[in-house]
Amino acid sequence: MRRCNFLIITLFWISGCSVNEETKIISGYLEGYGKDISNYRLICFVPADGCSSCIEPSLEYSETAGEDFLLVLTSLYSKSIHNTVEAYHLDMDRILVDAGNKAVSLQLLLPTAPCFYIIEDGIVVKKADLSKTYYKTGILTEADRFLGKGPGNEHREQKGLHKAIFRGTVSIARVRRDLSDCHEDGCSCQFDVDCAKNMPFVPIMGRSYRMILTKTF
Amino acid sequence: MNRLTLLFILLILAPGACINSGIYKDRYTLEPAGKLLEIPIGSQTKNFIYYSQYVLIDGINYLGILNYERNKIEIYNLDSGTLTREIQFFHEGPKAFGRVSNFFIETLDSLFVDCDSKMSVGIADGRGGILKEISYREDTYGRKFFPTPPWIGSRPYKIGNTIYYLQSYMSEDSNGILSEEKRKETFLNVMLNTETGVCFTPPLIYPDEMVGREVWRSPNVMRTINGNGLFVYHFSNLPYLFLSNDLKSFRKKVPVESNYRLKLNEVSYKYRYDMTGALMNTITHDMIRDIFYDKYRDCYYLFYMKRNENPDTGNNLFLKLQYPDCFILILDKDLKHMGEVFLPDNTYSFQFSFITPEGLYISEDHPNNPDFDEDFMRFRLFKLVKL
Repeated sequence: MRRCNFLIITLFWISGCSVNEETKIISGYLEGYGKDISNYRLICFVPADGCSSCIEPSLEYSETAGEDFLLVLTSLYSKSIHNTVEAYHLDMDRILVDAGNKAVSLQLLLPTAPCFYIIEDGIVVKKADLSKTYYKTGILTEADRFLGKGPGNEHREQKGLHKAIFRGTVSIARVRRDLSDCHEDGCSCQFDVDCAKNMPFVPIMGRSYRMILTKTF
Repeated sequence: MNRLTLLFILLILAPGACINSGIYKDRYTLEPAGKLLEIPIGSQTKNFIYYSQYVLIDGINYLGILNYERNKIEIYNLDSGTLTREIQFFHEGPKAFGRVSNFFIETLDSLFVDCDSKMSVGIADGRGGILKEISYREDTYGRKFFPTPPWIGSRPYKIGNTIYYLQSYMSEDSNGILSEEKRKETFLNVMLNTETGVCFTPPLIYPDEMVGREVWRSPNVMRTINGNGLFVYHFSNLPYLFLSNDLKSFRKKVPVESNYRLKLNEVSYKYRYDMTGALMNTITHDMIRDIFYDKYRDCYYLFYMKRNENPDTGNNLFLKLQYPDCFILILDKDLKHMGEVFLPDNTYSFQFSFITPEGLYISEDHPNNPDFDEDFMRFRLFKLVKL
């Protein structure tokens, strides 16, 4: 029993420590850019070299998010950051540019997909690492709920957002078929492999893929 | 012997622990020669390149590079250090072809371009127009195949009218382990005849030695081809080279003759849902990254990513995968040891190398290199020198 109590306490201690640790790291990181963590309720780290299907929803979300949302664009290459800003028409005044890729070095995100941190009173209360999920837009709904009704919410309600019309493991034949079928307006495919490898999607013989087919209504 | 003496001996021995001293005698080495080759690149081009091709046309040295983000092929004149051609391809519209994944330059006005997501090869002119398209979605038996990513040691080769694609089998059954039954389906190559459009799967499959071993990561096999049509394969978890002339069977297996003790990765399946674990597992093992055949000197260069037994988790570990620290093993035409070269870490970008009549060029565009500049491609020439 004593051992069990010790384990429980240790687990609480570890999890508590991890949240504090993340708060500490992000605070220090933002201070380096003259920013204060307590000014934000949601911080989204986006790797500019991540696959487009992984980073696109987060970048689009940032366009309509309020002042308490901070988008951090990170890459080893300032050219990648520049290209991303240009491709998604991002407002440079509203983003933090990390051209030294420090956030990745600090393991605040993986270089393949965005990572969200939900902040309450200057403390990280939740981390959502999109490299570990196949559903890249789920966190955005949660972010809306957390931030309350804002312009971003209205935007998504009007557009109906991206709705998953298929989700699951598919055979390679199906991947091929859905790729070719998915060219109508507002329809897009998303593959976990894309996120895992940070390179173009190349299906491998004999392997199944988890896939989400989404459509904007 | 007291403890201090023992500790002293251990400390002396430890740094050389992964190198066997003198089993194979180094007869040759690669020596840096001349000054750095520097080529300015535009604001839309990065110096981290997935695919490149060196060609000699009318006595001029050219290097074609794939600008993947912009879907362009850029051809640079290496003699003048200037951009000669910029060929744009399109995803949509009347001139749509798709995203180019690799290419073969025939002349400056004639290229074979490959779109691996569409599994189609296009014959392109020097302005990006596609004159003819050839699909390789299935072979003559109606079999579908899935080529490896066309980069580093898993790139396809074009010899005459035939493009040789490589396939890397991945087993999701039995914990990523290859069974004898599954092995029968593990065809390693597909040949596309660019004149007739016929796509043929030769019978060469994974060797017996791979049965019972993991075939999970992709690509788990790399290869090159020499001037006599000999294919040389390296499976990621076997310290051997497998040779085939006819793509029907392996005629020979030779050990990788290196004084460096390779610790190849044999277990990666268990990390399939754990990216950090997979990353650490990869970094703590040696890994084949590329194989080149040097037709001018009739030898092979094998680039191995060196393991890091104690990676600093405070650093960007992904950087180590993108820009691995490598050593180069030089093998002669019979795949016998000629030498091995250990270059300084955090200096070279081994992903981006090419061979010319002068020697082996390796990119110095490593972000940790103090001279790193995003606006230039910079290469160091290494010459093969007898010791």
